[in-house]
Amino acid sequence: MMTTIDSEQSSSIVFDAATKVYAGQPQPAVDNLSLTIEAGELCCIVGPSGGGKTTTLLLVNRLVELTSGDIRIGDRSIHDIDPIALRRSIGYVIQQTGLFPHLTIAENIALIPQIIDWDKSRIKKRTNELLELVGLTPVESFAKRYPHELSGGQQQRVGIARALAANPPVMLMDEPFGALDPITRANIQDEFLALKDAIGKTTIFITHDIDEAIKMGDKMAILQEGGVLAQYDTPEAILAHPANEFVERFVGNDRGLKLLTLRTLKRVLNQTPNRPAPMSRADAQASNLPRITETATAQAALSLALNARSSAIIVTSESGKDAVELSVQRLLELGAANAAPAGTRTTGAGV
Amino acid sequence: MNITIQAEPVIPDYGQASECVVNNGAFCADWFVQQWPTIFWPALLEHIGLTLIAIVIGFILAFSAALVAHRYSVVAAPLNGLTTVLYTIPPLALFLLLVPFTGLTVLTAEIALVAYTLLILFSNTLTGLNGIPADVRRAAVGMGLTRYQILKRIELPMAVPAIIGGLRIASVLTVSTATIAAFIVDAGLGSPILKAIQSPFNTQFVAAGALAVLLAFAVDGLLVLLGKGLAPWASRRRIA
Repeated sequence: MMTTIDSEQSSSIVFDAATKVYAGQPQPAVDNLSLTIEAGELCCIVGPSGGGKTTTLLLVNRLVELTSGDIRIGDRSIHDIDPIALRRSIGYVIQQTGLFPHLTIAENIALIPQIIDWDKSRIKKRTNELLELVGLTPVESFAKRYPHELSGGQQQRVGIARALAANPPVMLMDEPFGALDPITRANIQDEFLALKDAIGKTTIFITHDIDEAIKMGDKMAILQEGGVLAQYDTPEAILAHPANEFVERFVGNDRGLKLLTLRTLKRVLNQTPNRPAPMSRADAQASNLPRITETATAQAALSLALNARSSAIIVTSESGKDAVELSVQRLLELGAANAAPAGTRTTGAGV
Repeated sequence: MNITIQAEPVIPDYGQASECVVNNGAFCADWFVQQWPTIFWPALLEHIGLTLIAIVIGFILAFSAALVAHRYSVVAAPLNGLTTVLYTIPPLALFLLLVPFTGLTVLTAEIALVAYTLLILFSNTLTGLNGIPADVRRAAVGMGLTRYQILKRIELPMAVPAIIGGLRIASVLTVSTATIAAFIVDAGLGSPILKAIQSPFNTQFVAAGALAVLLAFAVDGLLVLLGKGLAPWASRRRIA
């Protein structure tokens, strides 16, 4: 199913001194922004309101025109592409979904393929494939419904499927999960992360929620008031080494804890040269220490230890066969150690 | 045949008058059935014709005006003002105003009837076209739809419930106003009503009035069905 999605079709996005000054405003909304989002990466743009996040996004699909500077998708400047053609090559997802209430789910997804004259069987195949991809199954039952007959989370899945319909090399997502309740939100974030690696689209993802940015982003661009780029790096590097006071305040004084959410126990254990010795099966069974699998995050492990008021936990392998005992002290040392310096984290791997 | 019974109602009864007719009862079914082919059926057909022509022409004008006002918002207020003024003129006054120009003709009646439909049809259509939620519009533009594609595929279909709503009000209004057209032309259900006022015979105006009411209901019902057919999503939404 996923192999039919052309994952090679993906382009880098380059902001080159991009600046936007709205008419009548003394201050720029986006000020001299330069950054490169590599093909296939997901970049979260995060910052306080007034930081120019949405303007930055709208500059890319020319819903807002640049005052100066340039933006390139692949090797082409967006000024060299007709705005209509440009927008059709960009998947666009917005917070309120913007689904067309008079069209069924299938018709919503099929709209752009229809307009660019795909033949019927190809559209049908693509629609079914996308509904399956975003987990709206059974496909036949969802295809015929209208948007208002779906829950908020389901509607946003349709929004994502619709954005992917014509297989654009680039996706723009403007607070896509911002209107969802926390549980739905966490679920759809997890699903989108899994999906993202399969589809490999270069994505700009706007959010005001730092935790969401840390969770979703391969890279994070933090904008501060006046549309100035404060820092652009991997979430891990930003949490470990905030570039300035603004970033430090913005990521919060719990950035140490947040860093732990980025690391699985497996990774924490593997990165240490003196990995704790495995426990014998008898010891592991006899112990009444709290247990957690190695796929969980270091933060979850710490939370578990706190809840159980235990100074140590047992980390089990996925199969449950192997187990090691890990003291909280050790967990903290390992979890906070070697915060990767800038740019060394590989895209999407292991998190 | 008792000639002395010949009472006030000067109705051509060919000497077969029933007791109801003779006593000028509220509604004489026998007389109604008898007069159906000669009075009521032709009047009903004429009335449907008057209404239909007015609605079709009114809709074409109002719809075109709404499209222009939707595209160029500066003309929306003047057009709205114009249709409002037309709507506020009392029907009889408008009929009389037009007579010197177009005479006692169906044309005069239709000009007035069309004028009354414009406000409702124009404002409902424009409200429908402009009423697309901001997020839907932004998504449509952001996906790369052209202005024409947005109008054709998004705005017009989404405006259908508002347009049908306007048509329902306008057609019920026209069915009722068209009875007044009888002052100008001898046509439609207004004609038997007007004649019955001149020589009071109850069944004649009761029946014609009732037919006008039934016609209004029928037209309204048909438009509701049309709306359901054209915008199935809207009725499903109400249930949901």
